[in-house]
Amino acid sequence: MAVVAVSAGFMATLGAGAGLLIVYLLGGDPRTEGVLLALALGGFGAGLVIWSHHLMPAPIREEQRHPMASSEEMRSALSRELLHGGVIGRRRALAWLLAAGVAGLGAVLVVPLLSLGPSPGNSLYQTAWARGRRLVGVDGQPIFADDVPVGGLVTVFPEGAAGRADSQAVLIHVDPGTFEMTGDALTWAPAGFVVYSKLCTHAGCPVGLFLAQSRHLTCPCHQSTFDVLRGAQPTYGPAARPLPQLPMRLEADGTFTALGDFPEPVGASFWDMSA
Amino acid sequence: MLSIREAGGVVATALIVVTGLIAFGFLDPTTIASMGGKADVTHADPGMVDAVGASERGRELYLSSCASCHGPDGRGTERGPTLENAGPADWDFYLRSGRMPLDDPSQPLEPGPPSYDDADIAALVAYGRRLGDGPQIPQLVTGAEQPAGRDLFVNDCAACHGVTASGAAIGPDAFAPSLRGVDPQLIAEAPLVGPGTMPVFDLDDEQLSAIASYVAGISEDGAQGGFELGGFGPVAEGLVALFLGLLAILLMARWVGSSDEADASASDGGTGDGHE
Amino acid sequence: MSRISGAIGWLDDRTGFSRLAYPSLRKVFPDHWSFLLGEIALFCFVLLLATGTYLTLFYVPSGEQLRYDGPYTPLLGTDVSAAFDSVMNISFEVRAGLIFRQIHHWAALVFVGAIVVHLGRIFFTAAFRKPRELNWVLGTGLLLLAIGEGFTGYSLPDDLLSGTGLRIANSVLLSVPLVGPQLAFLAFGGEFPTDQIISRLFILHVLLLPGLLIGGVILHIGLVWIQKHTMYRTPGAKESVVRGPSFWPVQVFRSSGLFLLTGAVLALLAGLVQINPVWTYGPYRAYESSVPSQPDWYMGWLEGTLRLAPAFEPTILGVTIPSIFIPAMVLPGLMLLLLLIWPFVEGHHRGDHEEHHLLEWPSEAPGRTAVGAAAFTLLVVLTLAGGNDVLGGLLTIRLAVLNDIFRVSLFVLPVVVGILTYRVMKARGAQQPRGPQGAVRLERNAQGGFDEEPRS
Repeated sequence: MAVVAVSAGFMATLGAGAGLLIVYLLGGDPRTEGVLLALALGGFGAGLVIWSHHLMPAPIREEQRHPMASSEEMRSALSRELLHGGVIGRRRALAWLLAAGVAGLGAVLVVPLLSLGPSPGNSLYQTAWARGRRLVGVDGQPIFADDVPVGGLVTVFPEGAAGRADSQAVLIHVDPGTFEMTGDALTWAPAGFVVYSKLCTHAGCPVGLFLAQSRHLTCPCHQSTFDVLRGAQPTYGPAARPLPQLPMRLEADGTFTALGDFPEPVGASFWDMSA
Repeated sequence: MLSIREAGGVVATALIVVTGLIAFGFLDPTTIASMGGKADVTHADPGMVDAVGASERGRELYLSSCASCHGPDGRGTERGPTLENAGPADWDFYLRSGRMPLDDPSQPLEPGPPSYDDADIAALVAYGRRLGDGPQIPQLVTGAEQPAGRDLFVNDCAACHGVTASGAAIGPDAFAPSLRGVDPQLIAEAPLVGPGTMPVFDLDDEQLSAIASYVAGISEDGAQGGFELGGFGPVAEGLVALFLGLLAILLMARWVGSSDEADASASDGGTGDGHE
Repeated sequence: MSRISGAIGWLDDRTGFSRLAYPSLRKVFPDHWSFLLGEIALFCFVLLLATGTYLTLFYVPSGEQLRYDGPYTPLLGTDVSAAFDSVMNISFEVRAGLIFRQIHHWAALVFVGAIVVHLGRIFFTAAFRKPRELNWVLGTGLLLLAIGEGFTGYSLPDDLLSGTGLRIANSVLLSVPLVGPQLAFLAFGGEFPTDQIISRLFILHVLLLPGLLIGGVILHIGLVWIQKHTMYRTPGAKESVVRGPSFWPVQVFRSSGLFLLTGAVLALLAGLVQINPVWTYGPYRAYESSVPSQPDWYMGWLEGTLRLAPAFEPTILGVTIPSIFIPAMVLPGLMLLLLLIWPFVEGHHRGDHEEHHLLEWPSEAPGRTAVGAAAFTLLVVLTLAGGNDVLGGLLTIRLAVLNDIFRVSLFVLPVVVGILTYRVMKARGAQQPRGPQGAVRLERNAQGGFDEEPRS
């Protein structure tokens, strides 16, 4: 009985293996390849296991364990050998210098590691946005106010830097007069339009989900939610900072231009953002 | 009474079977709460209908089913909003997706089978033109370019509905429904309408057709490697890997090895009886 | 017979291997199926190495941009990285490429799962006690390496889903106080996103991490070989004896068979169920997002901490502590530290510094079993929370409600499970008499063998 099973297993392997070759030569198909591979491997494996269960005497044997520890004499001998009569230990000053030398070698290792990347410098405090830069879409074409209906949004970039990761922003159109910001922030939200950085201040995912009914932007990664009418204040989720608002104005021809870079760093927070 | 060991084997096998049924599409967990407006009603071109006759029929239907909330003049009541900015696309979308008519205004809008047939929907749409003005019904064109459709979908739609169009809970309170299997006409209308919490997009017929065509093809184009697990990604893949793959391998390990701890004990010739 | 003798003779003349091979073939290993869990992980690792090597022959580890012009029409003409293009090539143009790519990814998911199950068995049977603490530490290290391999691996195709994960990883590095920005810029080679990150992940994934894994696995198995495997403590069991069938031929046949059966399960999965369809996700763009966005399952618990953590971002002495720092770095660091040092913590707590070769039944250590059950519950809740948007969508539960349910469960469930487990284990322990209680001391006797002397 077991002999039959084992033979069946090995023959399945032969058959499936041949089938796999044929399927491959005929052009291949992942589903068939997978099933045939499974048959080939499984048949052989089952054959081996059944053989070991039923066609192989498997006497249970015993072995003595030995304590892991070596004998006291061996351990003492090792200690003595390592200390080697104080060849290192007795020369204290030299030994300390040796240790210092090892640390010095460590510094040698650190040097190439530091070449792995540039110093952050000002990069985290700047984007490509600047005074006079027009708002364009992903395709690099200028965005017109008429393109964005009330309750709509579009991803925008500074002209000349379409697609640049740190400069991504969302232009949103809400009912005019519904903003609750004051001062500059309100000036930068003309005619019901406002632009916020699209980089979530939690972990940097693009905040592309606009909940039009409640006028909130929400992030797909960890559900940080920002109130569009109140300067993108976080109202839910783990983000603690509002999305920076882009200073911008609406031009007579219906395009938008930035009035400067974002007033705060964009994206995920870091330790010295107020610098 | 099953011993713990036997019970464990039964539970493991049951888990494998259930996971397999879900993974291979025989059990659909999304029917627990179906979110996608699966209106697979084939319909006549909604634009071409006898205007005057339809509009009168539409008025009858409107007064009997809609006016109680939207007002006899379509300017709203405390129970329902004004329809002055609702265009044919809005009317067609809400009716065809079954979101309207809504029995209880306090309930959220939910997709389902439409309450009216094509002719009545067309009639209501025609009447709607008299009550308000808004986006027109997009005409789907065939042969819409594919890279363009995908690009539009990823830039405008995928943030909420997912690149795999399987939908998800978004933000603290909202849901973006799955778009799989949804009538392409509805897919094309929704961006113009902005139903519920969805934003509004200014797209032309060709762009909307491209998007609808891309979404329609997602399940075919997408499932090149086997069953798609609903397009839910690593969550589904992890569940399958653990409760189908690993569990099956563990059961095989139980077959291969011994199940009697006494075999693995160091007793002197004792056979060891049941423990654990 | 003579052909074998001939071969043995030829090799032995040159290496003397017989004196090593003979006792090895006869070496005894206990046969219980729960001792095969580590082997399952090993088999997954071997399959990963094999399929991975094959994939390296086709994969291009470069972030350089080019135009896609392969057979997948929705992406025709799109700008993609060479890495993404090569993975599309493997999936659609290399014959049998997709099946091996999918086997590779399924094997990775099962690999970490097998390690976790194996770790659980070791933990709940106290197999980590002296002299096996080292192996526990080594094993925890292997778990971390495996997770690292998984993360670097699925980031290689440079697709929208894994790229989003890389952005989050970058932000986590940024969040370290005082050195965050430098760390992030060093790791990525500049401000996110960079072209270099793909080639660096590649070297980590195919050279550095596998090297450490292979070395670690050899040490890990080597220690088991030298220390001999533990045994369950049934009535009549003795600390001083290992019992089981010998390595050759029974164990070799069974292990090889299980290896092939593991491969069969993975091949079947890979053929029938799709995994990581990068063509649908498309190439990574830093300004595109999608839901749901999750890492592979073994990092789901990290995702859960990020989703459930509060928006707490204090500034202390001019240093801002970003809100992701504690859930993404501090908490996981503490959890991993506790895992690493557990044998020493428990040994110290119980005042137990003796050698043990017989396992403890979970019911004999209700405290540890309860802690383990509570920790497991915590991880399960966190992992489920990592998929909260999928769960919320399927069950139509608003995330505001679901997240609160998770937050409460996070604190309440582990405590409840821990207390229940403690009670159940104490009750079971009282019912069933076990083998020799406490540890024994092995002492050489006059005849050169060993006597067991009980320790109180």
